Amino acid sequence: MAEDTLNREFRYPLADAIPEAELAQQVKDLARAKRRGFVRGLPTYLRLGGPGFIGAAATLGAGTMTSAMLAGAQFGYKTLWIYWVAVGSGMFMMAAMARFTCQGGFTLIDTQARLHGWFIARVLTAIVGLATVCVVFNFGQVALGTHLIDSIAQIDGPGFRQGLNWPLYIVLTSWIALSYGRSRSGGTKLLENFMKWGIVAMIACFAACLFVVGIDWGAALKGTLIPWLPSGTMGIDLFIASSAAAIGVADWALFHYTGHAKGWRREHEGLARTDMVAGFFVPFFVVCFLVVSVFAATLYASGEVPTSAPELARALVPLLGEKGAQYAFMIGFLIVPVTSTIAMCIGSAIGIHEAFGWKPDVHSWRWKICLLLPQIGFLAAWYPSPVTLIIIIAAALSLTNNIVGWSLYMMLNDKKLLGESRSKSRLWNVGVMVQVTLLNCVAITYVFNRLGWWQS
Amino acid sequence: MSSFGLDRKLGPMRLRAWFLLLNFIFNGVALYGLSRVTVEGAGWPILVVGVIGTLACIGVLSAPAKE
Repeated sequence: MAEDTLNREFRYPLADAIPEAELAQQVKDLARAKRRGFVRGLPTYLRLGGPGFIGAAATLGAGTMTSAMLAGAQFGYKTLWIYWVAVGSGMFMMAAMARFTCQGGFTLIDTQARLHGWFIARVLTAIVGLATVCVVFNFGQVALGTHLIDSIAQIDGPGFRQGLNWPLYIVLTSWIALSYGRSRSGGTKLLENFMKWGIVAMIACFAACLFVVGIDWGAALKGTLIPWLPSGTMGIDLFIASSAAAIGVADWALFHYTGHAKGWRREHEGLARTDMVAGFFVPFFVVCFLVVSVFAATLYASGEVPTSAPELARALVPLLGEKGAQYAFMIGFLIVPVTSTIAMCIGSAIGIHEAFGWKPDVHSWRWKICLLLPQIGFLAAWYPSPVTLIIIIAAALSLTNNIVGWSLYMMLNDKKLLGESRSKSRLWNVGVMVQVTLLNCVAITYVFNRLGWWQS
Repeated sequence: MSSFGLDRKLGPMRLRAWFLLLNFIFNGVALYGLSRVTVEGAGWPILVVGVIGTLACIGVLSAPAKE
């Protein structure tokens, strides 16, 4: 039997406030849920889960929604299959994160730094992959969120301009994000419950819109099950970009650290795996399915298709007809950036702390500043998003996400690091390698584009 | 595959890491072939070599570390 260096007593500082008795009770509840079977035990898993929902909230942001709306408006139901394939292929890497969290007894980035060097760990994973993504991409969330508040106010009133409503957006999201890790486990539960109910409300709102506009079930089923892509390199670009956008370094790292923040240990691994499916995979696919379908049923084949999220929303609203459906769409759509911003604040604080090797302490000013850094996006209420910065970060992500993927694959198969907890499954390794290969393709097509070898 | 010794060191890295690099190169070859095929209608041999190399690398890298 291989020796391992696992620290079974490891506890992440953000989980320090959780009483040991609460974790022991969770282990008992999970054992009972396991005995009752998956379906009857599911409520327990949903109650105790949370990091999966935080991950889904982070991923289901302005960018994913814009691409889903565009896909529905341009291609109808035909590209629905991409969403479950994209997020499904990412589940293998998420399972690796669950293994590192529950059985590894280490934090990802410190261990990466020890094994593969500080550049891959602190720069590529913590700064480029997590912290910078959270800070820079929050501009888009704030721009969309404040725009939607104004749009909702305009349905039955004079409006509520972005330049005036941004404090409402920033205060609400900051307050919930700042509660994370506080009040023993109460603050974390507050945030997780906000994410869970936010996602439920998002699904309910978009489902109501779809009910109003109707759905062609035959076309939707065909689009979900039969792969189709537009011809030429455009189709390949669409598939690679959608796959890579669904789950990346930020999602992997966030799932790992938010699992640690709940004090997850060996006995929680089943919960972690259920959480990544029920909290991440299912909400991601359902929300994308609903949004694509709403746009497929309304804007598809209507001629000119707008390219930005606010323009797409504005074009859709009159087609929804009933005022109730208009409200439902706008409110569901508003929850998207709100939950994303909260998740990005958490990601920013964790990412910056890990980049510099700082111990996270939710009561410290350092934690609060790092957590609130993405809220500099409030400037988006007046100014356009910093396009150059976004392009630079997107380029850095495209070129480096795969290298982080290589590092994590090596860790999952490291006998010295994980001992008997390492991957012993060919299928698991193939799944991880499929995602790594997709990320390789993102990096390569980016370079080919610059060289003029790839013509979309 | 377990007799392959995928986790022995070869130079500065484990053999597993070399295969990750090789996979990356084959991915590049496949995409280059694909771009030629979609734009010019030529380049099938390059695409086939890239795809076969990618599949072979994933096959090799799917092997778990041996006991």
